[in-house]
Amino acid sequence: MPLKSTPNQLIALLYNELEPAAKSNLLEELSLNNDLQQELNDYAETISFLDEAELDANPTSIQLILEYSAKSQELEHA
Amino acid sequence: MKNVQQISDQELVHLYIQGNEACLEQLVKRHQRSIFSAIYLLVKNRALAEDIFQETFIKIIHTLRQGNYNEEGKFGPWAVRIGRNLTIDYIRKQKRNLTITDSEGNDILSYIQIAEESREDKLIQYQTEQNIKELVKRLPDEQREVLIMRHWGDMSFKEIADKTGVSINTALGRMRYALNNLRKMMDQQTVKI
Repeated sequence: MPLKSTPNQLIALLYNELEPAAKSNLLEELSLNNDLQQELNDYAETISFLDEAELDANPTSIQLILEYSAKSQELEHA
Repeated sequence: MKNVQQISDQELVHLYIQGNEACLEQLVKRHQRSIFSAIYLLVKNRALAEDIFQETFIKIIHTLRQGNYNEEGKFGPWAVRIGRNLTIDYIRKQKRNLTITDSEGNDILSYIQIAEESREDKLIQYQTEQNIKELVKRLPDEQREVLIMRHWGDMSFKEIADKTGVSINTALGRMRYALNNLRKMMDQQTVKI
């Protein structure tokens, strides 16, 4: 009988970091355990919300970085 | 000839070192979101995050030009790590600074910080992602750090474990608690609405 998977393995599975043997074991367990499947779905849904929390830097910051790079390169070659 | 948008990070780095400034622009555009998000979610202040973001790229520029970059194609996670380290350095320095108190012994800087956060909230309230960002900011430091490094920093749990001096299982556990806490907070918000 395979070892019971740990909740942490669900996280590793979602981020594609589970070893093949553990992954196979977990997938089999998921197919038989609705509660575990629901827990996985909850984590997956929360992770999908995180993508909405991304922020862009201000375009002025980006412009300043590019100007700094160009000027410092000029100085290096002067 | 390839368009810069089709060139890998590794090639962009190589061409930038040779003097092609357009390649830096492409690298910045490609990775600014994950780097800036990682910084902002740690310092919780937009103006400060912009400063540290600029400082991060200045450090990146110098490191590349000095030939000290050897991350073999993993430019994004490397750049996020620089941003994160500069942010942590800043927070450490702030903690070492002397506290200025008013006549009643309250920290004057804390008033300023509250005022800035309040203004900050007003500035970004129109962004649809506001709720999630606020919830991430409320997570305990250890959980927020793992979440930022894994989700936006694209670091593996092994790399996070090495970086933070804990086991992989602890890093995974912190991520799991972070997700559980976020979900609880989201549920509470839904109930309030």
